[in-house]
Amino acid sequence: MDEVIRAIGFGLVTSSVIALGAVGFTLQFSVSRLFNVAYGAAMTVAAYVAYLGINQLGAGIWVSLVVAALAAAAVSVALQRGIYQPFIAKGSNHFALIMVSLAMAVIIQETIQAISGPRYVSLDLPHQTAFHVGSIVLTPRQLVIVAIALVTMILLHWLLRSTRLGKAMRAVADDPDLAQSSGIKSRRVISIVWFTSGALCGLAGATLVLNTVTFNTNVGSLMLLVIVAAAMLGGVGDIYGAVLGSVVVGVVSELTALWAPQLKNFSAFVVLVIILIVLPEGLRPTARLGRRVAA
Amino acid sequence: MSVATQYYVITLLVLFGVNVVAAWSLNLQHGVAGVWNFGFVVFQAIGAYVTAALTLGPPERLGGFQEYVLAADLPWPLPLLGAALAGGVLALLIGLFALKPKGRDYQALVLLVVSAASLVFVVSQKELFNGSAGLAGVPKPYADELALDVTEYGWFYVLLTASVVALSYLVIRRLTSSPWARRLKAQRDNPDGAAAIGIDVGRERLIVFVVGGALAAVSGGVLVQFIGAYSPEGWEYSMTFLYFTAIIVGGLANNAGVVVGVLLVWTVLQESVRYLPEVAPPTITANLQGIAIGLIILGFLWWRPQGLLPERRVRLGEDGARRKVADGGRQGQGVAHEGAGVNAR
Repeated sequence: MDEVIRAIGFGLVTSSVIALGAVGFTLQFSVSRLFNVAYGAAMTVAAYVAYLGINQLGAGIWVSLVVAALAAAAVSVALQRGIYQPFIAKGSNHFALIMVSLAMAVIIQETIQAISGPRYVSLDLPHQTAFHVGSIVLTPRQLVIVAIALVTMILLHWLLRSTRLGKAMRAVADDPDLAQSSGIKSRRVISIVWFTSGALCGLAGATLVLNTVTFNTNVGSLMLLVIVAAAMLGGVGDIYGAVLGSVVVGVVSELTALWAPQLKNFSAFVVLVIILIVLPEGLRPTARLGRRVAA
Repeated sequence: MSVATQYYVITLLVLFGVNVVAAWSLNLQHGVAGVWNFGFVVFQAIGAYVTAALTLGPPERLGGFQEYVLAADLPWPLPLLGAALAGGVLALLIGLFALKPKGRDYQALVLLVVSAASLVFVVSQKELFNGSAGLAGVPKPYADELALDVTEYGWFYVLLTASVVALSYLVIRRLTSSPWARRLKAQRDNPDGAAAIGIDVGRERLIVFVVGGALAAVSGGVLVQFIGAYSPEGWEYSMTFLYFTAIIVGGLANNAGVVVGVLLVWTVLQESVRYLPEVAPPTITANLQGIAIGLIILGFLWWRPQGLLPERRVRLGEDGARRKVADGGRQGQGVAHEGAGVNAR
């Protein structure tokens, strides 16, 4: 029983990382309706920026986290403005855009690998003694990751529900043309969404490697699949669903790791399949498209 | 030709045949039917594993250093039929849930997750197909009976591959010129319209998924009997990306275009690296190759989205005669289906 509770503790840390990524992914999708496969590559960029900051430049963990988030946000906005938007303006179809994002994912990942080399890297992090809360055993760093995720979720909730910008984002997600004709600068709002979701993606990438310490250039594309599973579980476009999906995926994968460590990542997929068969629209099928960001 | 050159040419020809069959299969699913199969390589993989297991015989024969299921010792071409069956059954099982979500992009993402998850599963379950080490020592068909030298046998295997390619072509040609292909194209271009005239869209997509899965498995079988070994490194999802590159470069829904695409992407691009002067360490060369493939995709989607040989469509002329016309690029395919389309403006 103690083991199960301990696994749930680890599961909450994993869930926090997944939630940061899944919320960003789903926010981006709800406003742009584009499945951006390069999201995983932006996560890898953030992981390597954090590595550069902590190991090479000796910057603190907090500074490195912020810079990593900003780097992924910059990549995200550059992709939207420099690549996707021109392809959309040219009239590329939906499949072509997914292929474009896949191509960008490959280009970014291969570029990082050409610079850093194919080997695994490890963050130089000080050793920490773990806290014991009942049967749950967590390091201070893991608690910080959970805290970052919680604070980010609360801020995002406040942004979307209580600010004019959040209202504009919801309006654009609902109908960009209608939003435009109601005086909302849709283009600007969409760019802000790409920046915000890119920053969330960067936080996910950086907290992921803070937790796992050792990684290589596949880190983002592997994590992307878990994030997609969590986002689809919540119903893509539904940010509250994405949080719920992340908790399910994170806890289930850590519980699976108790009896079959090698199937840890496979369990997320099994959950997804079961949900697809039982509830093809995700955990919260009633959260309709326009209300997804809102409700 | 020296033995080495001959063997190099044999390898190129066999791999070309394997990739053409695979790309035809993906093209049937994606180009003709609009099923965005981002888990494509999984079906090639099951074909390779099943063919290997069906020809290796009991594990003890090679000293029992590897574990696998379905051990048998079947003569060619029975293992390939077994592979096709396995590929079809797997496609049915996966298709039943992966093709369920509304929206092709959702389906594509589920299939991408399927691809990664299958890899994790096969690596973790060693007793299935020997885990991360993969299967090795796969015997070549009729090698003992013929007792030829290496190059002579190589040319014999080229003939076997050619016979599979020819048979696949007959099947693919038959399928893509059938009324069924017209139903598939109808639902590809306008799912709601197709449903309105009585086409069971979900069923047709599942069928093409199964047929494509079976053919992809055959390509894997031909591959593994030539190279003699297969491991999880051979089917990471970047392989699916390469097959998509080939059919986009060649021309979606054009069987001849697919051949051209495979020739350019798989043969010319992959092999040309061998002949370039070594300017960088091999790992960086591999990275540059990956970047080049990404740029080729972007370039084609920007300047020539219809591919080198565009889809040819039957139109009725003013005199009522049927004539084939090259299609302009299929702008908007699938967008109507997705509702508001993409708006990352």
